[in-house]
Amino acid sequence: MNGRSIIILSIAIAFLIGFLFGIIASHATLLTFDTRLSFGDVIKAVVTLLVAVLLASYLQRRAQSNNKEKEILLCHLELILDELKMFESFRETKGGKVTEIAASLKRLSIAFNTLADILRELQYPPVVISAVNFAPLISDLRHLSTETPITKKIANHAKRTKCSSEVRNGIIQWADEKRTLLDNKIQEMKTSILKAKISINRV
Amino acid sequence: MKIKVATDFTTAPGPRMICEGQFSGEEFRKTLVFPKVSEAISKKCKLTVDLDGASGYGTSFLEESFGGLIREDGLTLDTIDSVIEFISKDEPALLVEIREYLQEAQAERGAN
Repeated sequence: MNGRSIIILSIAIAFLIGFLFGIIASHATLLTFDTRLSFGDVIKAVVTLLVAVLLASYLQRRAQSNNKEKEILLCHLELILDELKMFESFRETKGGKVTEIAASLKRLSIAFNTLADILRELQYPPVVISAVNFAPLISDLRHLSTETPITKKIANHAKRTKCSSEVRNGIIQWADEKRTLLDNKIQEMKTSILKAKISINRV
Repeated sequence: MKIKVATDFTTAPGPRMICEGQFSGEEFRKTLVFPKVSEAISKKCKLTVDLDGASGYGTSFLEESFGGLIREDGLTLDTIDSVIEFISKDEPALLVEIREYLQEAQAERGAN
């Protein structure tokens, strides 16, 4: 059913309800109807009908536009989730090229910033805007996935304690400890995305 | 004076140390950042470091590039604050992270 048929149907239903209400009210002698019809009455009826049509059409368009807006925002969150899944694939290989990991994080960061900008532009409530503020989570992900020890001495110590990462030929290998922490952070981010979806949908 | 990482160094910044791979933070600091900062100090002018346009930055690259100025090259946080101006429109959060690395490096030097 398209938009126009919905409007026609709404008007028809409103007319029927009004008509039935009129009949019931006149039978109960709550209302009395003048049997004569003046030109003014016709004008009034036409104007009332026109206002009803315009109002119904406006409300319909507004509701459709709001729904479309939400759909686009939720679709954007889906794309972010896809990017996060791509990042997750590095976890399965216990690491990857530093440049590729950093690029994936940048894409995530830009996507979240864009979403927050759009929400601000559309004047969404601050609660919703803060629900898509993933900057601290991305910062944590960056630390966990691309941080390596400063000096060789610390690197050796970190290797012994299995809590660090090692880079060779631009490829970073995460220690088990780091992998677990990354896992937790990725799950936390997924939960935050879900919360953001609910938050947008609720508005 | 200006350094635009994407055009003056690389579009794909790499790991921390030169021995770890190409386009490292150490290489960036030694070949570009420190010489330019020194020049800016002697000329008493500002140095703008534009981070936009690159594919993305790892923590170690950023820490070594800028924290290394304090740790390895002996500059102070005050000197860096007065000389370097960072730009990151793509990822504004990087500015906060760089600030943390600089403060940590300064605190570490103070402790030693």
